[in-house]
Amino acid sequence: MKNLNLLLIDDELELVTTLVERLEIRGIQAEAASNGRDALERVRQGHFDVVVADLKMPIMSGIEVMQTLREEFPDIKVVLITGHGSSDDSSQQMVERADGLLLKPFSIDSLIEKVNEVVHLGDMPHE
Amino acid sequence: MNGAESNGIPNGEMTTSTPGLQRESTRYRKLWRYSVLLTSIVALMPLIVMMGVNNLQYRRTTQSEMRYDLSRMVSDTKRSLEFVIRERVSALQLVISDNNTSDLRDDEALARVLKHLKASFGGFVDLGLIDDDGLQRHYVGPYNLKGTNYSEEVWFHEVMLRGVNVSNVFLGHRHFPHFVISVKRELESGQFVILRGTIDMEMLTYQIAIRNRQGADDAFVVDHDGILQTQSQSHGDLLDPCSLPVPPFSPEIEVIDQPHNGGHLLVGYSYIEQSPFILMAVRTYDDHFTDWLRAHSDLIGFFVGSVILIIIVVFWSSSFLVRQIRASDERRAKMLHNIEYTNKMATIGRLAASVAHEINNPLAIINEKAGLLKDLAEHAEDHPYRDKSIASVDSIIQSVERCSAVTHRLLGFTRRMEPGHEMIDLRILLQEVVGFLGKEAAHRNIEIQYHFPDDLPTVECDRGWLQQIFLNLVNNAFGAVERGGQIALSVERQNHAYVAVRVRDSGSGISEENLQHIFEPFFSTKGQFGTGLGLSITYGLVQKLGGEIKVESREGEGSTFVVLIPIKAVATME
Amino acid sequence: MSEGPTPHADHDALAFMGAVTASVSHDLSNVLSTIDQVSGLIEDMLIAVERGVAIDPARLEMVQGRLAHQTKRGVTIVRKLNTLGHTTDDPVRQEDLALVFSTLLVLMERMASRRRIQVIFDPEQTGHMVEANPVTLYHLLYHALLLVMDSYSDGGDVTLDLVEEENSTSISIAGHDLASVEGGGDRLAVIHVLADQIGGKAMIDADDPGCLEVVLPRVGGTQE
Repeated sequence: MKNLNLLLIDDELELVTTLVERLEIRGIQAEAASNGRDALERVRQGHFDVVVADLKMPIMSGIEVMQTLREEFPDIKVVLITGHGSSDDSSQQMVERADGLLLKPFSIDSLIEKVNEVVHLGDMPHE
Repeated sequence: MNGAESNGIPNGEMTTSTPGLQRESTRYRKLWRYSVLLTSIVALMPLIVMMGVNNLQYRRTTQSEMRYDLSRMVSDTKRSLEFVIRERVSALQLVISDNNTSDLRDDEALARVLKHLKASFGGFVDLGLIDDDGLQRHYVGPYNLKGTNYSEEVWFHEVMLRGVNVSNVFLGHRHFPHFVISVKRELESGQFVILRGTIDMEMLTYQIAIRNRQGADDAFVVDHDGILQTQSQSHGDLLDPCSLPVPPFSPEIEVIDQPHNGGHLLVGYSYIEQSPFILMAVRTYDDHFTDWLRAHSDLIGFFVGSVILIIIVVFWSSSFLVRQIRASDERRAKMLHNIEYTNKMATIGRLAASVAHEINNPLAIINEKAGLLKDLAEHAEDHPYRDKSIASVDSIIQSVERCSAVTHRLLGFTRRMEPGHEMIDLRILLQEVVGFLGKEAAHRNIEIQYHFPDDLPTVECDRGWLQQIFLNLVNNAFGAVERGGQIALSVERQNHAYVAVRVRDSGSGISEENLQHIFEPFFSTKGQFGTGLGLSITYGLVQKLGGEIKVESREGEGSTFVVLIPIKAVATME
Repeated sequence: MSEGPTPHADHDALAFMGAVTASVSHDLSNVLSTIDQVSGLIEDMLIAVERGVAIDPARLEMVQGRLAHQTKRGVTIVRKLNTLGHTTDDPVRQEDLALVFSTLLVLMERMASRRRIQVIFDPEQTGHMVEANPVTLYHLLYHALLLVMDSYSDGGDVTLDLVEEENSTSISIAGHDLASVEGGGDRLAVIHVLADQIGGKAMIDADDPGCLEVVLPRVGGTQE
């Protein structure tokens, strides 16, 4: 757990930077990005184990980010943050293909718990 | 005369043809016929009467001229003929009374007398001396007639009775036309002797010929029985009965109208004194009409020209008149229709406004009372249903607010703007509008056709409203057609004042019942985008621009919206 | 345009209100989430202090700045939402277009940012008064802004301008290419109906196919 590298993506930059700071206090390596394009660039440069992305973002949606990651970095786990469940049916299916889901607003502990959960998923064989 | 169409009476610009319209058009054709008939009669009658009077007068003057000429000719000729006859009678009388009878009883002497007579007077062919027993005792002439007995002849008795006789013409032994003059002398012995001279008819024929240089077509002599005594040109041969009846006796010279062979003849005649002869001169006047035509060619030309001109003017003015009447009828009908429609719309508006107004007052009361109830409930702290009451009252107040928002909208607390005045090319505007919908057209595979003429005036109008009008109509058309349907846009100049824009779709059309309500507010067939306000707003905008909008549609055949846009901006009616 | 309701339904002012509040509640939820996390961070920092770790005052200042910013943002949104809520108070009233737009732009912030639209508007252009039913006026301008925002497929600038004319005020909303908007015909038709309800009109600029012009009767202009 301590060696994990997290990437948090949300267009609410102040929210994600605060989250990153709080994770760092807890000894978890994390970085913040305000949109999917920036995030993907970071992923390509560094090493991340888990990407936490908001569903609705400008430029790229959380789902698009997830799809790109699945193609390029199949090992990276993806957690999606959903809003009030107002997404339409077509994207609902896609959302369920994420490794984990978080409902906004969430506490820092539930975030860490969710991340732990998905990382342990990887210990087991896929599907 | 069924020239109504060809004379350009419009058959109406309505595209729908109904039996009523058919009846209408026969009504206008009838009107046109009456107009043509009446005006041509009024215009042509005086002209025709004038020409008739002129013709009559001409006929009268020519006839009296002809009568005068004829009677002069007859009179001249009569005098000549009488003179010729009297001269010869006198000559014979002189011969018989001057000479001793015995002198004449000598053939040689008689021959001498004949020679003298021939030299002095001419026309004598032979002479004979006849005794009172009727026997021709002596004779000089080219034939051997000595000893002929005339006692049974009519002329012999005549001469015995009257002393002088001029005979009819006959051919006799001589085989040429002649007549005989006989004179009697009473001898002392109480016996008679008659001198008889044969005169060549040529003497008279010659006189007639020289007198008749002009005035008659034919002049001849008949006896009292109607036997021609001279050759006639067209009324019979010598010694045949004349084809004209014997005119009644008159001592004067007469000119009479004689019907003949279906035509008319002018016949002048005179009884020749001391003879059985009647001189007749005939003139036909059938051809006086052509004479008149010839004599008045300029007048006739003027007449014919006037008639043609009048007819053209009559036709044109009748067509024009009927066209005007028809156009004004149609205008009036259209106006009535518009008034009706505007009234209807205004009534709907007024009704909505008055309903809104009436509702406002009770709403205000409900609002006040509800407020009061709320205050009361809030103050009664120990009331068992206090909170429930307050909540109910709140929801009442909310509902009242919603109601008043609706009523205020109905009352139309809105300001209206004057239309703008831009010069707009409708073709470009329509393309802009359609361009706006281009994506949808491509998506749904809708074909859009343009029928734009090259010469189209720009219209002075409000761009925004025009865009709104046509976007709405084209949008409507999009709503009406299926995938792969067609929409046609055409612009053309309607007349000097309007440009017509047609938006036609190949959709399912609108039922007749719906057509009547299509421009009414809140009327919606398909709930197109819910409000049913689109077309009523469009209608209002077109009216405000001084234009017109109508729709032609048949179920299953699509619809056509026609918008007439004034070329020059008009002052708003409101 | 997921939060832009479909034109068939959104004719109702209620649907407009719903769309705006849904979007705004999202924003508010973000504000609250951020405040929540910031307060969590302060808690973390307090725990660290208890363990004897010194706090960097600069860091504390930054955290305070974040709190102030989010609070201010939340207050603004709530205030504008309140303004929108009060549009139903009066059937007709005078509105300053600058205030209407500043309200709408705050409320539509999320819709703009999701389309990566930057709305360029000078809020100092006050004094353009319009008398109308406020709900209809907001509804109309909301649709107009949204239509122009959708004229970009990949983000861009929407320029808002108010021009006073003789009897009217002309609002020009310039975007990219209005003809490229999916379902634009129906949406413009809705705009027409709304504009007509308050005596105005809407048209596409003849010279700029990306510019929507909304003309509204001016207060003090000729009245019928």
